[in-house]
Amino acid sequence: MMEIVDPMNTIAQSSRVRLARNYADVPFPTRMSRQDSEKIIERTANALEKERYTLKRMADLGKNARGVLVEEHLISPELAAKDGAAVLLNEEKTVSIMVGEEDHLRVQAMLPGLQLGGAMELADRADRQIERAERFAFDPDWGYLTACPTNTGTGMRASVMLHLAGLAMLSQTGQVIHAVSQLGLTVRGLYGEGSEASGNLYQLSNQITLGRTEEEILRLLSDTAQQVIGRERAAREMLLQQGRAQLEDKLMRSFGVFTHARLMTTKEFMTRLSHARLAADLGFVKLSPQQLSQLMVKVQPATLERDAGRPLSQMERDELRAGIIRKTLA
Amino acid sequence: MLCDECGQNQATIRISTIIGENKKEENLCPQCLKKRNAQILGGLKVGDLLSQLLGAQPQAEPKETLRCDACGQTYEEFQKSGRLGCANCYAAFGDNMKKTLKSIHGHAHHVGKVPAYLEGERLHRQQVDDLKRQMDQAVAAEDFERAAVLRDRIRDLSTREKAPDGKEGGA
Repeated sequence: MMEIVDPMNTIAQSSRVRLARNYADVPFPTRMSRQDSEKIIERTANALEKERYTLKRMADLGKNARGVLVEEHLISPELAAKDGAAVLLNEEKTVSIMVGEEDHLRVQAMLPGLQLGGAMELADRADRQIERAERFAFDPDWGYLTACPTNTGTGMRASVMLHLAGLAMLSQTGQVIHAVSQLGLTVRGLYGEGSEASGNLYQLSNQITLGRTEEEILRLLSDTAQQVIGRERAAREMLLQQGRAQLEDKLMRSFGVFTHARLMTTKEFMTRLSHARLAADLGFVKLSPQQLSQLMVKVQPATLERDAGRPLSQMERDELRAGIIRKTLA
Repeated sequence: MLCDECGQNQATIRISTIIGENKKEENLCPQCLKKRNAQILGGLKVGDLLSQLLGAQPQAEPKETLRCDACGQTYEEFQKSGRLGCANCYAAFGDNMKKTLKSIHGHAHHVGKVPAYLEGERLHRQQVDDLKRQMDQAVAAEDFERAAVLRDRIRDLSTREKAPDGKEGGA
């Protein structure tokens, strides 16, 4: 696939591909019996026996452990809520196979930066491996059959997470979202309310799954992501030209609060993290993108509680969060 | 202009909703817009959107109750939930399903990845189709010698397909 592989791209935070698959001889999850859900877990685990996957059943995990998996983007909140569901994780945690979500299988691969082709390869390999032992619901006309017709065909949903701080500062994200939606792609704000994205993180993904090949979809997505990244770079350039000192002042003041505050809510964290990311990208502070991405996972509520070893009040979480930021970025 | 929702406050925002070719316009006040957004964001499920989409469509066979033999789900249940019960539902809901897929994706024909065990079959079918087309061209051009050679090759391929060589292909 023609893609500029750019794992170090800091505007593209991560690339994800997920494939929806169902066993041909078992009803879809809404109509599965308890035995059915157990059966599909066992069959999937058996099909991947020779690979290094770890099986985690939701029934064996407490609320907190499930929450941590959600925060690590390894499972969806929907899967976490299902006692009869499970997830298979590879050693590197780049591939997670959710069993018993909306479809029998959601084979998901995630890589840092802009690497849709790489993510597809990982997901495809796992898919082919299961397919060697099993028959998936497939129709020559309609492709892979899924519980929801919005996924029928390739069953593939691919996405790129973009950090659009510059466009947001120029109030231009609306325009970009509008332009992108004309192409059969969707842009959503991450954790955000409405069009306003928390932490200026936007997820760009394909909408159509039928009538186009996986490669066509990925190419469109990758090309569009690169164009949006170009716009974001131009926005940053413009901000620097219009007033480098003001921009640097704004970001560094925010960074000062970020690294010295004693209480930090999730909402404030996301805003200041975006400022820190932009400051790092523009060379105002020396921080690695990995450092910031890891920080983002470490300060999420379930992960904080796991590390503390007990349930925490919101105030306690805000205090711990501020402490972790200071420790990580000092 | 007054708000379409509450009829009391001044409307400040116009919302256009486009589903397929149907366009709906509404004028809302900030309070009602906020409520609407909360509803949309709070309870938004693909199923809701889909059932709107499906409900808005004329059914191919409106009077009969369509039911899937394999899992017992009816087409009505699918319209409400947006979820199918099993793989067989696709065939059971036939033309309705085709229309649904077309309205969502703009296409109703898969061109992407195929399971490995079907890959051989697909290539084989393509090969036979190709040869048949070439044979027809040869006949039309009155090149009967070539047409006969092509006919034999098609026959060879077809008998090979039927030969019981154990595996169905794939790995």
